[in-house]
Amino acid sequence: MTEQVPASAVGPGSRLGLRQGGRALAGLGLNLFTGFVGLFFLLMAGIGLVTAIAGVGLPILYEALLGIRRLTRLQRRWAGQLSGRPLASPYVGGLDRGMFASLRAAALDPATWRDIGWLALQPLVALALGLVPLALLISAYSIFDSAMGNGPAQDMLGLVLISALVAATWWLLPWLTAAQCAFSRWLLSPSSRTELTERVSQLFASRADAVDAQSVELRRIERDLHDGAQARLVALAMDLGLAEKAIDENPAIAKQLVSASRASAQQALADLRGLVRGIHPPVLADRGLAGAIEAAALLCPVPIRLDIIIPARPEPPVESALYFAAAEALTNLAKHSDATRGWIRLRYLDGALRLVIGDDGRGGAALQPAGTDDSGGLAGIGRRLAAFDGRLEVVSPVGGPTEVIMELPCASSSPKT
Amino acid sequence: MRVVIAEDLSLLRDGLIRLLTANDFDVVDAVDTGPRLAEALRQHRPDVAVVDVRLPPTLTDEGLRVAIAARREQPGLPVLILSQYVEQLYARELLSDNAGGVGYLLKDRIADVDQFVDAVRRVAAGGTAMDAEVISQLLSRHRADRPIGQLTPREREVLELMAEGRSNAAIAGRLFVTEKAIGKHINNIFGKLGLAQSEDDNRRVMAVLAFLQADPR
Ligand SMILES: Nc1ncnc2c1ncn2[C@@H]1O[C@H](COP(=O)(O)OP(=O)(O)OP(=O)(O)O)[C@@H](O)[C@H]1O
Ligand SMILES: [Mg+2]
Repeated sequence: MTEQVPASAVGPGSRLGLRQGGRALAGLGLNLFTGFVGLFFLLMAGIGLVTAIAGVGLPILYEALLGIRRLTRLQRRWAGQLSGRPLASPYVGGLDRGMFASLRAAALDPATWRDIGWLALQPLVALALGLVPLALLISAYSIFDSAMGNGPAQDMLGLVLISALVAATWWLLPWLTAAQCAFSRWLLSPSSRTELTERVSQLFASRADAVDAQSVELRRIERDLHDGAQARLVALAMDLGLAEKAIDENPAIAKQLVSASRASAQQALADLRGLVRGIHPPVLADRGLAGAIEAAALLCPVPIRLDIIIPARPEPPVESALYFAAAEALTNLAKHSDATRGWIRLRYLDGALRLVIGDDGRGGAALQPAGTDDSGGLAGIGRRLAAFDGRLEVVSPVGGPTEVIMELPCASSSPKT
Repeated sequence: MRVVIAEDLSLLRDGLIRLLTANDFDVVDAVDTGPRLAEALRQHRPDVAVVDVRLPPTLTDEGLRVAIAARREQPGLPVLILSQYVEQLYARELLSDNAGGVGYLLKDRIADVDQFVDAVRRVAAGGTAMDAEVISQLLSRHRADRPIGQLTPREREVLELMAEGRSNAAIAGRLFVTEKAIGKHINNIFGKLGLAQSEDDNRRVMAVLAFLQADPR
């Protein structure tokens, strides 16, 4: 898996333009700043802790904690920007639930203690990293100061040395920045334990959703069968029974009853067809996701351009989740968009399937239309995808165009051959 | 008329054999898998094949694939596909060789024996038999403000029946009007849709189907 790193990021191997160079230098300066402000907060926290026994220390401690969090947030943001990979906030909870409760929560939160470790080490790290370019540049300056102007040969040598030193500084900058970012990431981004906790609660929620959705679905199927095919078969059996009785004395009536039973049978078939299509469309089993999406697009009153490239068939649950998502998006497109054309793009990239369904219509699509509950089709897609760790994004400015973007992690779509 | 049947459920296979035999067809072979169907079509070169879409061993659209492959080998080999569902994608694939002699019907239609036998005969004669549901799905893709929307309700009815592959006489019989009236309706329909008229019934149906399948705009 390769990560997308924005062009503005600074790191080893990146070619340093003037802008990035400036940002890297400013970063090293900022490091020194956060390092020393951090020391101040650390001291303040210490004082607060010591005087806490007398009771007056607690507010001091609380203020210090607030300051520390603000500072680490700044550091996190900057390290995220420079390295091109954001650092998530590691805290279990905020400090906004009253002083005592907040202090208790903070004391129990391992992230607080990692913050304190960072506060203690950051000045050293910042100094060490900041001194390197400083030393290089100072020696370049001292060469300029002492050696220049003593004749053309020395001047030449001095110039070469100075350019070498400046070049070395320039070359080192990305490495220094990367080291600083790595250090911040080490202590300031969520520990694997926090990440796991987060993940577990996410999975818990999406599993509950999936179970809910499934039982709702099963109830719907049961009801459809009961009111549809089952009822029609009962009617059919009754008609046939009556026909059997009537056939000798009144063949004309019997004939009528038989043709009524035929109609019931056909209606039952139609009901079952609709039901099966809603559970698992046969074309999906036959042709896989690509074929089924193509088939769905054929039914759309708006011409749809298809651009589908996937290396292999994903596992069935993923296929079906994406198919129904695409079907809903296409229904919306036909129903709401007023578009003259649409497009569908499906790709497999970095272990995930990415499906985009767009149109050039009026836009303004929203996941949960204001003032309604989230029972709409789009919200349903979102829940369904979440159960697979997937993601739904709707980009639809008023006036269009609309793009519905779905992403599902999926390992088995990688080429098998 | 020699016919090959491919259907994996014996209940339906036996029913089809009985039904077609009773209507003067000569069932030369009745098979239950895709590979056997391919073999039977090659060996018997029937006048028409009646094929279930879903066949073993894959239990996917095996029947359709075999039929399309066989038509590539024997162009125009008449094939009537039966299915529990209609799928535009499959209708399109069946029609894509433009050769005629194809049918695509819901299995429910077998219940109406006369209509069904008529459809098998039509396909054997090189005509088409598209399910009414295929046609109504195609029509529903076209918006009301487009050419289709300019048809009168009667013309629309005629268009639907014609697209299913029925002859003028059959349409006239269905709608209780004269064949001449149907001919006039068809003229109007072709005019409104901007299609060139053709003397040949089959070519006419193909033109209408192609129009309906094209991207609506
Ligand atoms: N392609 C689109 N173009 C413009 N608006 C859209 C588009 N898709 C959705 N919308 C808007 O977003 C809203 C939410 O869509 P959603 O599918 O959640 O609900 P719905 O289609 O109204 O109801 P349901 O899907 O339950 O039938 C729609 O009501 C519609 O106004
Ligand atoms: Mg919707």
